[in-house]
Amino acid sequence: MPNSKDPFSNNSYVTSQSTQAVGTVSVLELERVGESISNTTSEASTDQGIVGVDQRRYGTGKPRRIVLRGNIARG
Amino acid sequence: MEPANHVELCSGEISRVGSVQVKRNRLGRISQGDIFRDVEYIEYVTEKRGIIEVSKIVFPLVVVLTQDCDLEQNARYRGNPTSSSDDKQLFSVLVAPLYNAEHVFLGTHLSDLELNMAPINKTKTPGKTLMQNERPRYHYLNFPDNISIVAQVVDFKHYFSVNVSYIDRIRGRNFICRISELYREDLSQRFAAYLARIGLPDLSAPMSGTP
Repeated sequence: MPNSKDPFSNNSYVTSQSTQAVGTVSVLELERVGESISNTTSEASTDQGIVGVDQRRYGTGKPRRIVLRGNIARG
Repeated sequence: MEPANHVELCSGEISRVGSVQVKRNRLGRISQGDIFRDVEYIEYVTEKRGIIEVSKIVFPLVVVLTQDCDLEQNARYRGNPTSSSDDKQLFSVLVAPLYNAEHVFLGTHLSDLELNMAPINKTKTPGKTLMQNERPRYHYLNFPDNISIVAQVVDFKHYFSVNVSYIDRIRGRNFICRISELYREDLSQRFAAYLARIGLPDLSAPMSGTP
């Protein structure tokens, strides 16, 4: 008989509980709480007039950090 | 006098250093040398008392460094019901960020992450050797005039991995171009050489961890 306390046991009850624990995180809304602001954008205009892939210049910006935060709603 | 990013060849011709050829069309899969824009790197995800926090860095441009044969086999066998195993599937793709070369010379390319980087004098030996790809850590890329990317510097020290499915999902929208074969081999070989370097201790500095 499978051991219900063993998470690796081939027991449908344990498997069901494990699945439910994950499945109950039903709603997750993240709010952007922080973003490092760049003075330049990744697609800034150019004064050199180079025509490219879609008329924009890429790679002029800098990496930026974004922090998201939110509640885990448990159903 | 030629600009700093131009060099006189043996033939007497003037060439832009670090020039690369690129292709605008993307393959039906992720390919080594692909350049993507706005790629997210997850720094951390924490969960405490029901509050989840995610911190990520958005890189304006990255180039794919994973071996192309691995990417080809991953694409061929991923999700293929006829394949007998998942042996060829990848979890992640190795990429390295491209930084605006002018920002790198000023040392300001990571200022939005509150990191101060050492400036590199563009007109002196440090800058010139960087643009001639003689500094192992960096790879200078000067794009053709018909490709709208300003000169970039790949910093091999900042390589990171991104999830294969994530890149697959965004590649249609975020693909910019791909570096042509010969130039991508140069990039790949220099990256491999950088990773394979032997770190020797600085004997003049005090050894850490020793009594």
